[in-house]
Amino acid sequence: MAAPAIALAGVTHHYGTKPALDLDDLVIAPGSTAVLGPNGSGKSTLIRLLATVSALQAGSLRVDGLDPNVVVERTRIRRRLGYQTQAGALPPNMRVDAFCDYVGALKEIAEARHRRRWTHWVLNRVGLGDVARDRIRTLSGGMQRRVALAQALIGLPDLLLLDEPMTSLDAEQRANVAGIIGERAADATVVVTTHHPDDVAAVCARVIVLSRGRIVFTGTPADLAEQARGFVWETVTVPAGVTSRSVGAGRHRCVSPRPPVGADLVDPTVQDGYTVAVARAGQDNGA
Amino acid sequence: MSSVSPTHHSTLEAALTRAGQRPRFLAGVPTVDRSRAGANLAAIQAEVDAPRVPWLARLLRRLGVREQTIPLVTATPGLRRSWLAAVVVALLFAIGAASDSQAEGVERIVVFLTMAPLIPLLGVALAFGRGVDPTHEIVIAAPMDAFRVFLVRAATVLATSTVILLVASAMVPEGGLARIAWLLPAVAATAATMALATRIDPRYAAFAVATAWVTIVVIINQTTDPATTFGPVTQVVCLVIAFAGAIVFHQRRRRLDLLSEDR
Repeated sequence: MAAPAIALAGVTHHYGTKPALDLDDLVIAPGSTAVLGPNGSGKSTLIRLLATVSALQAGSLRVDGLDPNVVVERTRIRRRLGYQTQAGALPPNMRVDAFCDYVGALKEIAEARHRRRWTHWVLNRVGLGDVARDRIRTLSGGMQRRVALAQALIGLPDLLLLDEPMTSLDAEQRANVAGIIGERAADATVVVTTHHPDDVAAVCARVIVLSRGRIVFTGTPADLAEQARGFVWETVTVPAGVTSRSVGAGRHRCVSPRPPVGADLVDPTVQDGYTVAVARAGQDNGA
Repeated sequence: MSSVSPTHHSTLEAALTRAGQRPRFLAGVPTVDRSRAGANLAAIQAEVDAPRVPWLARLLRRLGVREQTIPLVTATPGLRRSWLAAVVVALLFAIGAASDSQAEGVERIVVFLTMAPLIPLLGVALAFGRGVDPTHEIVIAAPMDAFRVFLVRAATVLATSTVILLVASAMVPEGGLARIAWLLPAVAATAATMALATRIDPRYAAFAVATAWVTIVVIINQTTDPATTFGPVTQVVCLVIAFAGAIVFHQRRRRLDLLSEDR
C-alpha cells in the first residue's frame, strides 16, 4: 500500500475559548515532514488531530482520502498509524518487552509469537535489545524516548507521527533516530515535531513552521534557511539587544536586520531561518 | 524455548548464519536465501529471548482467555498493588467494625455493605483514562476499540474485587445471605460509572456515583431499617440500573475513541 497523503482544509481547534490551531489548506505528502514551532504553537494539537485522538472541531482532515470523523474510516487510519506521544506516556512499572507486547495487542497483532518477533525487532532497531526485561522506570530519559519510538514502529506503519522524538537524546542517539526516520520516510509518511531546528535538515525533506497556531512557513529546510539570508552575522562583540550564540574562537552568531559593528555576513542555517520566520510572524501579529 | 542453553543458542545461531555458505555435497541444490535465513534467525532469536510468561498471563491462558486479550488484562492500571492493598485494608476495617458492633443482623454489617460496592468502582476509576493511564493516548490511537479495552479492564477489576469481597463476606460475623447484598449494587455502580465515563473522566464518574450511592444509603437508613435498605427492592433497582448503564455504555462506546476533553 502506498504511503498516505494528508490533507487539511480550514482546520481550527480551541481549548475552551483559547484558540490552539487555525490552519489554512495544508497537504502533507509521503516522505518526512518536520513541524517546528515554539511552545504553545499548536504542534501537539496538530499531531493529535492527525493521530485521530482529538476530534476535529472545524474544517476537514483526510488521510489518504479517509475521514477520521467516520468510525470505520478512523479505524482504517489507525491500522496504518504509529504514534509516539510526548514524554511521560509510558507505564513506569511495566517491563519494556511487556509494554511492546501490550502495544502489539492494541495494534491487533493477535498471536503472541508474532508480537514477540515485533518486540524483538523494534527494540533492537532502536538499540534497546539489552534492556528488554528492565522496568521502564529504571531507564534514562533518552532510553524511555526510544522505548516510545519502538512501540510506534511495531507493525511498520505507513503513517508515523512522532511528537518530540529527539527530546532527551544525546548526539549518537539523535543520529540513530534520524536514521530510523530517514529509513521509514522511504515508504511511509512521517511527521515529526521538534524544538530543534538543526535536527530538521538532517532528518526531514519538508518543514512546516507554526507560530501561535498558524502556519508561518512551509517548504524545504534549504528554503527555510534562505528566509534568513542577509540577516545572519558573525561578530566578536555582541551588540546590545540582539540574541546571539557562541560559535567558538571568541566569535558570536546573531540574527539581525542591521549589521552589528565589525560583523561579517554569513550563510544562514535552518535554525536562523526558523528564528526569522517566527520573528516575522510575531511582528505580523503585533502589527 | 526460553530454556535453550547459551551453548545451544550459539550453535544454532552459527548454523543459521552459515546457511548461505554451500557445502560441496549441496552442489546443484538451489541456494538458501540469505534474507530468509536472517528472518528465520530473528524469529528463533525472538523465541529464545522471550521472557518467562508471568504467572497471571499463564493463569489467564489456562482459563482460556484469548492471546490478544491477555496483555490488556495484565496491563490494567487499576490492578496496581497499591489498589489491592487499599482494598484489603478497607475491608479489614469494615469487618473489624462489624465484629465490634453491638448491633444484630444486617444492621451489624451495614458499613460493610455500604463500602463494598465502592471497591470495584475505585478500581474502574483507576483502570481507564488520561489521568491514571500514561498510555491512554496510545490506547486511543490504536485500531483496537477503546471500548473493548475499557470493558476488559473493568471486567478484570470487577472480577478481582468480587473475589476479594466474597472472601471478606465469609469473614463478616453474621447476616446470612445478606452478607452478599453488595453484589448487585456493585455491578450497578460499575455499570453507571462506565456509562458516565463515556461523557466525563472515569475518576469524576466514579466519584459522582460513589457520592450518590453513599447519600442514598444514608438517607434510606434514616427512614427505615438496614434490612430494607439492602432488601429485594434495592436489589431489583440495582439490576435495572446495571442493565440501563450497560445499554448506555454500549450506545455511547464510540465516544471513548477520543480524548475525554473532546467527547
